[in-house]
Amino acid sequence: MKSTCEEISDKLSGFVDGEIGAAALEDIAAHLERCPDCRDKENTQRAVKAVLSNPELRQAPPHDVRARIMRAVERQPEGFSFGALVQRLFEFQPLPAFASVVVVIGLSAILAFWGGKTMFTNNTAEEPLALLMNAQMEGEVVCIDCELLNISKTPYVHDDNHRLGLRCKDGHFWNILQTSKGSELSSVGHLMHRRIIVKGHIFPTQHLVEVTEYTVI
Amino acid sequence: MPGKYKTAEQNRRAFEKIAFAHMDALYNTALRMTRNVLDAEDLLQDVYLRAFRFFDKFEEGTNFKAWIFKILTNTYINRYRQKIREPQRQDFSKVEFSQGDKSKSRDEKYETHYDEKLYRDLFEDEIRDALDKLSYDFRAVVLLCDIEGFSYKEIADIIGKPIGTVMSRLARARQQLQTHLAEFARREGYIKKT
Repeated sequence: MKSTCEEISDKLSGFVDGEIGAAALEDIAAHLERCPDCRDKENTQRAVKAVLSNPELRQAPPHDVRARIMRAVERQPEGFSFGALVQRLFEFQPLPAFASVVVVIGLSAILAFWGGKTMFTNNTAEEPLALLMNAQMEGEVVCIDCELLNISKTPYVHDDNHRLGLRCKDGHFWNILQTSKGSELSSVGHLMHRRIIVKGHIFPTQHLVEVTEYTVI
Repeated sequence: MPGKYKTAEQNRRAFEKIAFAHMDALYNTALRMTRNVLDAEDLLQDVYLRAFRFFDKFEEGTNFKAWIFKILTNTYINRYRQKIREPQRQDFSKVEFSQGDKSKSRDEKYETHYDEKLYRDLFEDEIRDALDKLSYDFRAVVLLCDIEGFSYKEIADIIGKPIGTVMSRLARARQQLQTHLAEFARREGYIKKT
């Protein structure tokens, strides 16, 4: 197979960095053999890489920045984690904690079952609890704070402290729990106003979803 | 899993040990992304706070450096979303400063533009200018590959794009950089106009 210069030029980086397979490697090497223009481009790739990897261009961070960051880390409240919260409750007050967990799960399950039936589809089982644990919903990624301010007709500017969330077909807003998946979802700006399908665990009373998986549609 | 470490103190210490091994790399990348020392420090602090918050989600034995760099790029995109979406604009005050101020000594320039001082030390001016001209998408792959030495697979993971995209962005970014650098060299008379 003979590749054109155009096809080659996007792969020259991979060629130079040793990041392509043997077949493509041979193909490119053969092309370079007979094409001086692409050989020029190959040299460019190598030259620029060499210039940039010069360690003298590196800069040491300010000496006190680590200490400052650690002070900020120590000031952090313990991160919200549903699991940790429940665990802590059990450590101190095992019986009441158990009772309240049963009540909370029961209540949320009932709410989800009655109130959320239109919103969620469930593909594993019929029990209300399964609805909570493996919910799937479709919605648009929106800035919750802006939407709420908009509804209340308060003048506002979007800022980075605003939370991204999900607006479902029925108009309900859902906060996204800050797990690694959730943070990935809510911190990627370009998903704003895209429709996505979210799979995860939901906490209907808090309008909170713990995202385990999402796909953009 | 909550409770990977018994106490909050142990958790903090474990985090400190593993996370600060990459501070130099994170700082340098942050600096080149924000182009400004103060913003870079802010960004760095944000990244560490986030990483700490999600530390219990990090799977031990996997690539921590790639994990925290992913937090860096996500945080950067989140904070500077507006800036990234806007087409690259020429900052005229800076252009005038770097080209029309040749009579002043370097130190004098530093005094008037303190923020930029450390950043200027980082790069030879022309390399910095050339990198600044790249769009964010192109700059990110060059920083991650050529300056921080990540593999294509790691970069794909960090920026959330396929390896093929990493490869073509990198090829084009280097090509663009070369054009900018050559232009500079011509202007300064290092190479003759062809």
